Amino acid sequence: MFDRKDDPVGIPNGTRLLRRIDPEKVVYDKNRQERRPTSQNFQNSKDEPTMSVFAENVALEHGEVPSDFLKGRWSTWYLAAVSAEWMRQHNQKVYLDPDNQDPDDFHPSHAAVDGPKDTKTRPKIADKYEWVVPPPNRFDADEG
Amino acid sequence: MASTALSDVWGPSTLTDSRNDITTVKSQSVPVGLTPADIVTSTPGMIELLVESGNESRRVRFKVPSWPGPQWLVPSILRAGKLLLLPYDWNRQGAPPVDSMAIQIAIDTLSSLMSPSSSLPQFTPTERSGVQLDWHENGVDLEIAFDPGEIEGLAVFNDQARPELEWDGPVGKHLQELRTLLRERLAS
Repeated sequence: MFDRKDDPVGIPNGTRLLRRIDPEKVVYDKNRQERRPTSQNFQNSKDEPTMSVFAENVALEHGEVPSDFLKGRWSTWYLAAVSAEWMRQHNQKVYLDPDNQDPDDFHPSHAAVDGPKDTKTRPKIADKYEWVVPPPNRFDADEG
Repeated sequence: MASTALSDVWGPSTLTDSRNDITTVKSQSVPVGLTPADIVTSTPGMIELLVESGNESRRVRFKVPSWPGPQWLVPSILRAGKLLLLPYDWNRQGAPPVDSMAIQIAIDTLSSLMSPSSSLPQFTPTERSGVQLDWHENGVDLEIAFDPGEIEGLAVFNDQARPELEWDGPVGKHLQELRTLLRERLAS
């Protein structure tokens, strides 16, 4: 794997990066009074130094909408956004990565957030999430 | 070392798993939920958690020397039990079932940290099929992750009003801070 460079031109700081959220990794946050993704959602892929996201600016150019990222095996998952700027402030490189996808799950806006995401970094990244496709029980305080 | 510090102060005095069974049973429907009646049985000195999912049964026994044990114990075991129901590939990326030993270590850790009035944590799986405990209340964000093969959890604390006080590290290095938090800030 060759070293990839941060791409602030292709993905400017103001771009929202959309991340699929595992429904098993959502908890109720009494401070925010809503369910939120746990920090474990913001982890690199297994055996890779990157985390997959979808760059909203490129998605808009290609007519992709949030529901396009939640089809098939992802149909029970949710979608949250964190800005590219916030990722970069935590020593992450952000660049388009359309070739690193499963052929049956291809999206032109696929991008990588490249960098170490240790125990301390993940909660900081997660702290700035915004729901794009929230859980249906978003405001349900039952913590079960 | 943190692990030494932890074992010096806190041994598995309250809870130990004596069997940690995983048994294949005949195929049956997946339970839609967990209730105390159908998965937790208790006898003096012992709580047994049994969960069944698909054709597999998983059983964890907790020894409770001080019967009936603290109030938070059974609700926490029930929450943890939901994680044991997760099947292979629960994350759509090939994850194995949640590690019952990680759950045991999490429960053991709670026994060394919780006060009677402490808020219950929320239990979710980690990316490596361990368990993460989360508290987000009273301006505090606290999480403790227990991954398979690790002998203690890693905690991350943030006080939203005073971010300069944030810290992170092994539970054993922050026992007093955690006990104080769970007695004073993360409590009802």
